[in-house]
Amino acid sequence: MNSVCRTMKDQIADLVTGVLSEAQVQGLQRHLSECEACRDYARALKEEDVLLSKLFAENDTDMTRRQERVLKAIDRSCQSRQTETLSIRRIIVKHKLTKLAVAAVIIVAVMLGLNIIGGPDMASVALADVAREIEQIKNCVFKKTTTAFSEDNFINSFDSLVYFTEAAVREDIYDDEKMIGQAYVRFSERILVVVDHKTKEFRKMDLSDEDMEKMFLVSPKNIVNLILGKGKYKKLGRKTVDGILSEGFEFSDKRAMLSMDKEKIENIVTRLWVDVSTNLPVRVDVDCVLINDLKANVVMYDPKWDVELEPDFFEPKIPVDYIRPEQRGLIGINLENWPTLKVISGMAAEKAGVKNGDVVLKVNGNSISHIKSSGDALNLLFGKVGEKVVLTVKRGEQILTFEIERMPARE
Amino acid sequence: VVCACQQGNKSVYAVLVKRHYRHVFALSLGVLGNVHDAEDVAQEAMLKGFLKIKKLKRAEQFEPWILRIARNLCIDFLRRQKRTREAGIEPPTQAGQRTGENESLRRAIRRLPQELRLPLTMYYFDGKNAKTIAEKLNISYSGACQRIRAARKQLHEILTERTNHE
Repeated sequence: MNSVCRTMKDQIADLVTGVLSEAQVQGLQRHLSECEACRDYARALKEEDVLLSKLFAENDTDMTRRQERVLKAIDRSCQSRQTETLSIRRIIVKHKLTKLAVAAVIIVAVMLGLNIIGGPDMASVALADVAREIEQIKNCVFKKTTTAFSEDNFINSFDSLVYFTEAAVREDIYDDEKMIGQAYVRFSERILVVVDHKTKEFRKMDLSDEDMEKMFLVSPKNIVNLILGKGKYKKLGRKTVDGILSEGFEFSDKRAMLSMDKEKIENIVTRLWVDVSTNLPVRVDVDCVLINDLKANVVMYDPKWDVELEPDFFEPKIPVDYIRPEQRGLIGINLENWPTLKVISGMAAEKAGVKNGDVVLKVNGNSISHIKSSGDALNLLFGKVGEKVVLTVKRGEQILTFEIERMPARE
Repeated sequence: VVCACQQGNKSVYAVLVKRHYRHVFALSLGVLGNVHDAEDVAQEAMLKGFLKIKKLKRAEQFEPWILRIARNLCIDFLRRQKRTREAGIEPPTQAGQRTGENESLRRAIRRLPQELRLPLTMYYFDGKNAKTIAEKLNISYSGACQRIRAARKQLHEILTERTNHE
């Protein structure tokens, strides 16, 4: 083969691809009429082109079926996301302990109070009957999923189990089957105790009369008296909910959220599904829009009525190493670029000799490879004032270790 | 509500799946050289696209964005495959596959280096238009032509080498 043929081979390939100019095609044809080897080559590539077209066309035929599979996979992922549990941290960023408590109380209000709102009763399931049933209930246990999002962005979701009696309420909050927080309300002592297992903090709060009135429905009966006949509802008809034939009611009354600051609620829609045979709630679904564009959806489901619950079940159990927020000490580092540190001037870390740009390798001798976010790092570094944290850092080629005593957090 | 909004998005997203899945699949097939793997990765890419679509700032950038996701997933896939191979675990050979002309062609395509297989695959999937491939792969038109040319030549060599041996 000569060099002309070598160039021609390129052109033959381009001819098959269809990217050769008119002039080049003519030149190539002239060569092909003279050169048998190139003619063979051209024929072979054209045959291959036909085969390739056929092969890829075959691969292309199944496209609709594949697309359907993709859509099904998306459906499945949506369903699993509804029950997906995520870190509770972001939903309770600001006053996390307080908000956790509020979350605990909302459900009680909704489950027991809200579903009794009703106007002149025309439904075949009479809301007044539902109210009467509820009044009889002393204890119940139900599941709850709370989801928060801003505008259209999913922010967070967590699952909890709520135990309710006339004397106390307990809510256990889970993240992926691990309990991350708890809230206890004891009506007689007028206290609220919130335990955050992630930061190992707890808080006890006294409840004022106003709190009691606003947040805690001392008895279902009071609620019935409070709201029965005052609200309006829309009938949603019958449908099977969680496997139970139910009748639905929709309310949009701000008073439904007794436990939250009413002023902060822009809009609230509650759907209550009642078992047609027992007149007891099956599922409550609350959508609320808060004025700061935050939206929340609370779903309570799978209730069990009149479950025996021992009083000590409502006794807050706080591990000895848990601290109150005011006892929390800081070492004074900015964790934004974790594991690279920025020291806050005048604070403990700086005084101990840590410098900006140090990269953390170990905390208290333990590897930090599992600590990915600055939020997790914060939890790791949390602790009591006066206790010490040992940081092993890399500075250039040096490996340095610092012992830093936690200082009280600055306000 | 999240569900309702997801449902809203879901029906909109179905349109995007219909419009772009073929290209995502073609790209995955081009990189991976195997229909089954390409199906898996393409599905994963579309799903990831759905979950992350809020992060996409400009709607008209969907195609390059989803193709980039697919490409990254392909790279991850190959990396995983390489690790399993290094660990001494051979991927199961697909038994009972059709033999004959198609099979030898398939095998030959698989033997092409990825940078040539990808433009060649996309060429056949995309109405045999070198220009769109150049755009999709973000390379020059002449670069795309050159790669298809090299792919054809190399493929021919592999095929004739095989015939000579068989």
